[in-house]
Formats: sequence, structure tokens, C-alpha cells
Amino acid sequence: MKFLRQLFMLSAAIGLLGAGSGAALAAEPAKPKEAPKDIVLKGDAKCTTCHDEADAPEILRIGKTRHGTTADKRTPTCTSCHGESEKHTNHKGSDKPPKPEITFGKNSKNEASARGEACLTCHQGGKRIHWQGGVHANQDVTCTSCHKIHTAHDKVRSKDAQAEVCFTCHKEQRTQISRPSHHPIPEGKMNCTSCHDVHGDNPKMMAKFSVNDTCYTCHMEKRGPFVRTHQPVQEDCSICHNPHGSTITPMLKARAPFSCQECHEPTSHRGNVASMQTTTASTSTNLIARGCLNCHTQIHGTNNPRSDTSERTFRK
Amino acid sequence: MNTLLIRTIPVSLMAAAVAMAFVPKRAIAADDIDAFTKPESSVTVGVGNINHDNRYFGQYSGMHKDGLYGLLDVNIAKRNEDTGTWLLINGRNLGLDNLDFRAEHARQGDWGYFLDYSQTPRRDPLEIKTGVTEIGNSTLRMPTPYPNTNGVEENLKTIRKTTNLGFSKILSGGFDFQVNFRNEEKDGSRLFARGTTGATGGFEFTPEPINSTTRIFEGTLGYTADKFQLTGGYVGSFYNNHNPALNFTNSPAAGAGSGFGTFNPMALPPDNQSHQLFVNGGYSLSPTSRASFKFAQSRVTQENNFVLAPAAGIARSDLGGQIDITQAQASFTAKPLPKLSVLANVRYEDRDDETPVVKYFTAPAATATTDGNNEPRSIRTLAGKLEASYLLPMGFRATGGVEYDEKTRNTSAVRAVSFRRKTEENSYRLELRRSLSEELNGSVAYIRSERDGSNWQTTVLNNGTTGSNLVAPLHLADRTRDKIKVKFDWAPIDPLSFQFVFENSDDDYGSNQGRRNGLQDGRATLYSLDATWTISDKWKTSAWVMSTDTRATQRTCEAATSAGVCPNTLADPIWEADLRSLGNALGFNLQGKVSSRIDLGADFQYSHDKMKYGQTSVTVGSTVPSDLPNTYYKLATTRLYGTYALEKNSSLRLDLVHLRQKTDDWTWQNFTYSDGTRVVRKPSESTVFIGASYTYRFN
Repeated sequence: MKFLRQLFMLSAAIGLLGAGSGAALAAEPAKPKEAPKDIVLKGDAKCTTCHDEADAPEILRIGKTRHGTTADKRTPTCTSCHGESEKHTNHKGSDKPPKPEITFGKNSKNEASARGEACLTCHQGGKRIHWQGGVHANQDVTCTSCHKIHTAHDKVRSKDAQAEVCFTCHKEQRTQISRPSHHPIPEGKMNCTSCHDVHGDNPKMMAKFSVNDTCYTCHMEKRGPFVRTHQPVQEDCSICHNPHGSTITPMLKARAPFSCQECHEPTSHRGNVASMQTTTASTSTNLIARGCLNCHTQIHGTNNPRSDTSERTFRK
Repeated sequence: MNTLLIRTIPVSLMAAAVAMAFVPKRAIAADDIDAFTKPESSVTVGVGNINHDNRYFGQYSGMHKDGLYGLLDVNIAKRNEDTGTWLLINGRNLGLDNLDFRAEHARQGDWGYFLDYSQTPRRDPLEIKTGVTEIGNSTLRMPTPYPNTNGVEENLKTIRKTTNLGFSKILSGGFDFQVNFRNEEKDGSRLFARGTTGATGGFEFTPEPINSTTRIFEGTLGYTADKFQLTGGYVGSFYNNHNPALNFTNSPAAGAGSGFGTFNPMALPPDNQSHQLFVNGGYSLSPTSRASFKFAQSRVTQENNFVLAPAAGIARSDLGGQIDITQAQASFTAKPLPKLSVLANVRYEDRDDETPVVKYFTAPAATATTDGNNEPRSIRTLAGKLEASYLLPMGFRATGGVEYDEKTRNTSAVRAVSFRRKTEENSYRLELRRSLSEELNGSVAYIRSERDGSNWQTTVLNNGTTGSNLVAPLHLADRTRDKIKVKFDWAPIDPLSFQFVFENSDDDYGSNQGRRNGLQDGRATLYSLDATWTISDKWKTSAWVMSTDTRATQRTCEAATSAGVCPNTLADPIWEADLRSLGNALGFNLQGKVSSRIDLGADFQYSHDKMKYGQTSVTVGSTVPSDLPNTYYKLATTRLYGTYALEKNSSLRLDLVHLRQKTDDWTWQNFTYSDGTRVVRKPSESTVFIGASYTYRFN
């Protein structure tokens, strides 16, 4: 080892000597230092000089995204979101530099509102007009809590993977969506934002102003109005249904007759004990098969105007 | 690839892994930078096999039958770097019933248009044997002989075929314009019935034919400036049912099954349409304060011809249904002090049902719970919220808030359930949160909601007398709800983190002016623990367990008189149902890189839901009723997958998926429809899927 070190020192000395003599002979002016080139975004050299493809290739993947479309004059650069961060970029020394002005990772020291501001500077319009008034914003959820900015395939914008992101916080729904009666979320045919406007400020973050307006988007046949209407149906679908999934088809909170007995008077047959009876043509068969709906099949309303017995009770 | 079965690793991640596998970190050539910075496309082809029919897992998956399936996914992303013009083509499950396809062409920051087509199948998991024929048509043929217990197997299924078209343009001066059109065709049949009492009646299996078109058209004009944003436009939505009625042939003329004479035809959902004008806006008053509003005016109409003419003397051929809806909201958020945030909003919705009131049912009985008139339902909602949040030392934030929700409804002169014109709910929330720590973050919140309302209005029979008033409907009843939410995120060391969630909610339903039946109380509890461990640069694992317990107690009377007197005898007791749903679930995931070419992953999820139906008598001495049998559902899903990088831009993937479900649900047990139809819910199902696919990626 000692021999190697001596050999290295000797080589270095010869090299310096050679360089010196060469300079003396040629007396050429030193070439100006070449300015670092941008890799993806205009002006990104300030950052990619250090954070290049060898140091952090993942951050370069922003080039694959809409944020990497430099032909669009609105496209930001690194400092648009992370701040000028002079202390970070001018740091000298071998110790860890101070963090950029705005960071978005889980250990960010920036307040949620400051992180959100970086995005809202450009994205406040359209569906995010009401972001500040929404539950997410007021629970310190930031854009990057859900979105990955430096990747072309942002999981939360993917129809089949979005729910996984939402389940990071919404634990109960994680198992509800796999119950026997469910919307096709596990199958990737719907996702949370099919019904929820996560950037908005509607109650329960519904996509539309109310629960029913949201449900009618796909279940418009329930909208009516009908000759015979069912008051809770018009008021709120979620009085009876759990749209995240249930063991009781179709996504009911309670099975008949219990569900019906939560409102209806126990006169006639309506107060009957829930029975395993299977006799047809009997009002006591209130549990097996479709329970009360064995007869009252038009539970969401009927437009049949003829008699006061069957239509009134949603039977035809 | 099929999400339920495979849950693909996102192509981008796979591509990145493969690229890194072939490109040493310190030797990335300039050309290779494109691999990190330019949009990437991929095509995946493969083949998969399912071992046998799977009714439960095949509900929406498009792969319900056993056998081989071709797998084809396409993901094309091209960008013209000079103009910023994108061409995006995305196809998933192509060739299967549940396919998704989208094509988009857009110059970013200027214009764009897209076409989106999607199919959503749904196959009812129930096994049905029936003699009813012409299922799916608007006229069902009832079986001969009646009943027929030797019917053929039928599968009830629907499919939605949805097409979306859209165009957007960014105009000058901060304006932009969007139009979207959605057309959905829904076809098939679903479980339905007709039922009536009496020796010649019963419950018949009469699947509803579904053949409808739903269209939604939306046009939006937007304006965006630094401080002020505005959008406004029109939404029209139209429902057209091509089967307005369900008819029957071959019903028995006498004897069993002949009692349904007046149940032919049955009305099916009528056409309806809605037109809405809306405007949303927001204005940033200062860097820390903002006001926003929304306003919409809609009209819903339903003028479909009746399937049967009303009784003689009623000069209407349709309902003439009309609902005018006004929706408005104003919000204000501000940070008056660096540490103080406030939020206030007020919401208003008036759903005014203007449908003409007509006495359609001309001669209801004196004790009927209708006077024969149709009953338009109007409801007006007024809600408000005020919340303040203050940043305390050490990164703690304290939040307090109040919410008010008032609903006002109309009713009819004669009614079947107790009624409340107005309900008011006040909610109070206190929360302590810490969210800026590197190791331990969390929140504790307590919410109390109190709902009451105006005086109860009794039920009224057609002869004007007061009916039974023993039940307070669940959405109108006095209710006190206490809810606590606790959440902790703990990262003791950088690669290891835990998340714990506890929630408990207690409901207590009040006396409701003597309406002692109906819901009594309820409770919902949830525990959840997640752990994530990044073992190394190459391996990562996560696991979670969860437990839920939801309970409700409700009470009713076996046979009250029409005047609402409960006999409270041994034969006709007051009885109580104790409903409980217990859920336990866990999950485990492992992902790793075995070598520069091989990635492996495993995913396991298990859930066990148990329902308990306790029934007890409140009447002293009565042994009626007895508990109902418990039911359970167990689901276990195991997924194993591996990818092998063939080249820098291609890979092979193998998937092995095992799905198992078990239940002892007795819902359809020992039940036969009057017409002889039998319905069976399979008690268990075990499905194995094996798939192999090849992915080619290119820039």
C-alpha cells in the first residue's frame, strides 16, 4: 500500500509539472467554464447539476409528464414548486445541505397550506376552485399527499389503482369494497372519484351537490318523480344504502324487514318478527329471499296510476 | 390487465426497474436520459386461464367462465416536443367484456379532444333455475305447468356500454371552454318480483328487463386569473327507458298463480330529464383569504305516458312531473393571524316538487293510508359550518368547529308514517393534530352531533282519524351521536412506519314524543393497524389488520292495531332486534428485486364478516321471538407475480391468483318462488387464475 501511495504521489507531481510546462509553452488563455445544461425543464440546471441522472434519476421522470411538456409556456421548472432555495443550492461543504424552501415529502417542514400553494398557483381554477373550503384541505391533506408529481403514472389518477391511495387514510372502506355486494371498485371499473370530488367542498366530498344528485349520474332511473314516491328515497339514498359495500344485497345497511321497520309502523303485517318462513303468499315471509321486497318490489317509486292498494305500496 | 385478478405493477414502475437493471447508474449515456424524460409506450399481450366458473369473483371481471382468455393492454403516449402535442391511447382488458379504451389528442395549453369507451358487465352471482322464459324481454312468459320446478339455468346479467366524447379549448384572456357528451346503453335483466297474498297469489320470479339509454351533455366556460376563477355552464341529463312496462303472458287463468291479474303490466322506471345551469367562482381576497361560491338552477321533468290509463275521469296521460332545484353555497377561508385559520360556509338547497297533485286513486278505503293523491316530495336544506384552527407550539394544531344542518320537508294530508316537517342537527368538533414531526404525527378528534326537530305530526288515515304512531323514522328521529377518532403515524426509524386508527361512534335515539319503537341505539367501532417496512433498496413489505364492529338495536311490535295500540301480549309482544356486524380483515404485501432482471411480489388479503341477528322479547314472559342464525362471509385472495426483464425494453410476467370465498348465508335457503323458480347462493367458491404476459416498451 505504501508503495502504491508513493507511486500515486509521483505520478501526480509529474502530471502537475507537465501541466505547468505545457501552460508555459502554449500560454493559451484558460477556456471559460461551460454553463451547465438543462436536462428536462428550462432552468433546471440549477438543480440537475447535482441531481442528475446518476444522482436522482427518479426526479427526471417529470419529463414524461405534463409538467415536462416544455413546449407549453405554462410549464413550470423546479424552482416554481420548490422555491429558489438559494441556501440549498449555494451550500458549500461536505455536510448535508439545508432543505429546499418547499419540500413535499412526508418529513416536510412546510405547512400544508404552503405546499398546496405551490400547486394552486397554477391549478386553482376549474374543479379546484373550492379546494380551500374542503375537508381535505382543512385536514392538512396536500396535493402531494395523494399525487406523485415526478412520474407519468400517478397512481391516484389511475382508474384501477386509485383506491389504494385513498385507503391510506380511509381504512373502513378498504374492506367494505370487497364485500359481496359492492360497486365494481376492486375490478377497476369505478374508483373513488366516480362519486367523490376530492378537490371540492361538498358534504361527504360528493361529486355533485348532494348524495342523490351523485347517485343519479348512473342510476338515473331512480330520479323520478313518480306517481308514488318513497320519502327517504327522495331525501338521501344513503339512508338505506351503504355505497362502499355490504354483505346485504343490494348494498343495504340492514336487511329487510329490519331496514323497513326502522321507519314503518307495526300495524298490519309490518311489525312481524323476522322469520325464516319460506311460504310464498304470506306476509310473514319477510326475511327470506328479498324479504319485504318479495312484494314491494318498486321500492324506489312507481309511476303506475291505477289503484290504491298495489301501486300505493310499491308493488307494481 | 384485469384488475381484480392481477393488480398489475404500473407499467412505468416496471419500465423504470427494467431500465435500471440494464443501465449502470454511473454509466448512463445521454441517449439513455430519454428513457427517463420522454413519454413511454407499452403493449402487453398474454394469455390467462381460469380453472372453473366463478360467480362471485366473476361479477364484474369479464372472466366468469372457465377456460383461456387472451390478455391485451395498450398504452401509447407520444409527445411532439416542438409543439407539445400529445397522442394518448390507452386500452385495458381489450377483448374482454370489461374493456376500457381511451384515445386522446391534445396540444397542451391549447386544445384537446378525446374518445372514451368502457364496458361494465355485471353477472348476478346467484344460480337460478326457472321455467319463466323470455327473460330480458318486456313480456315474460310464465311457465307451464305452473309451478314448474324443473326449469333451466338462467344467468341474470347487465352490461353498461359507455361512450364519452370531449373537446376542450383554451381561449385567450384566461378563458377556456369544454364540452363533454356521455352516452350509456344498459342492457340485460335484474332480480325483480311480483307478489301478492292469497291462495292464488304468492311471490313470482319476474326479472326486470333492462334496456335503457342515459345521456349527459355538459358545456363549461371557465375563466382563470391570478385571484379570480369562474366556471359556468349547462348540464343536461336524459334517461330513456326502452321498456316502460313489464308484461306477462301465459299466467294461469285459475288456481295457483292466477291471482296476479291486476299485476299486468307492471310499470318500470319512466323517462326523465334534467336541465341545469350552474356557475362556480372563487376570489382570493389576499394571499391568505379566499371567498368562493356556487350556484345552480335545475329543472327535472318526467312526462312519460302512463303504462295504463288512469281511472275514468282523470284527464291525464302522464304525471307532468316537475322538480325545480336551487342550489347555492358561499364559503370563506382566511388566515387572519399567521397561526390562526378560519373557515365558514353556508349551503342552501331547495328541491321544490311542482308536480300537479291529482287524485289518481279514486276510491281508497276509509282506513287507507292515502287519500288517493300523488304525493310530491319537496325538501329544503340549509346548512352552515364555522371552524377555527390555531397552531400551537411543537407543531400541534387545535381545531374547533360547529356545523348546523336543517332540513324542511313537506307532507301530505294522509300519511303512513309519523312525520316531522323540520329536523335540525348541530355538530361540534374538537381536534388536536400534529402533522409536522418526522417521527410521530397524529390527531385526536371528538365530534358530538345532536339532532332534533319540529313537533311530530301523527299519521293520518283516509277518514281523518289518527293512525299508529309508534315509530320515529330513523332519518327524522331525535338522535345524539358521539364520535371519537384517533390516528397516529409513527416512524421510529426511517424505513419503518406504523399507522394506527381507532374510531368509535355511539348513537342514542331519543324519546321522540312517545314513539318508543324503531331504532334505540347504535355503535360503530373500528381498529386498524398498518405497518410498512422498506427492508432495503430492493425489498419492501407492508401488512395491516383491521377490526370493525357495528351494532344497532331496534324495537317494534308484533301486531299493533291501526290506531297504534301494541297488544304487548305473549302472542303479540314488543320485540327487539340486536343487529351486529363484525368484520376482521388483514393484508400482507411483499415486493422485491431478486436480481437485476427479476422482480417478485406477493399479496394476500383475508376478510371475515359475521352478521348476528339477535331477537329478544321485551314483553315479560314471552319467548317469541328466537334469534336468527348468524351468517358469515369469508374472502381470501392470494396473488403472486414475477417479472423477468428479457431486454432493456421488454419483459415477461407471470401471475398466479387464488381467490376463495365461503358463506353460510341463508337468504335464499329452502325458498321456491310460486312459479317454481329456485335460487341458490353457492356456499363456497375457489378460483385459480394463471396468466403469462409479454410487455414491450418503447419511447
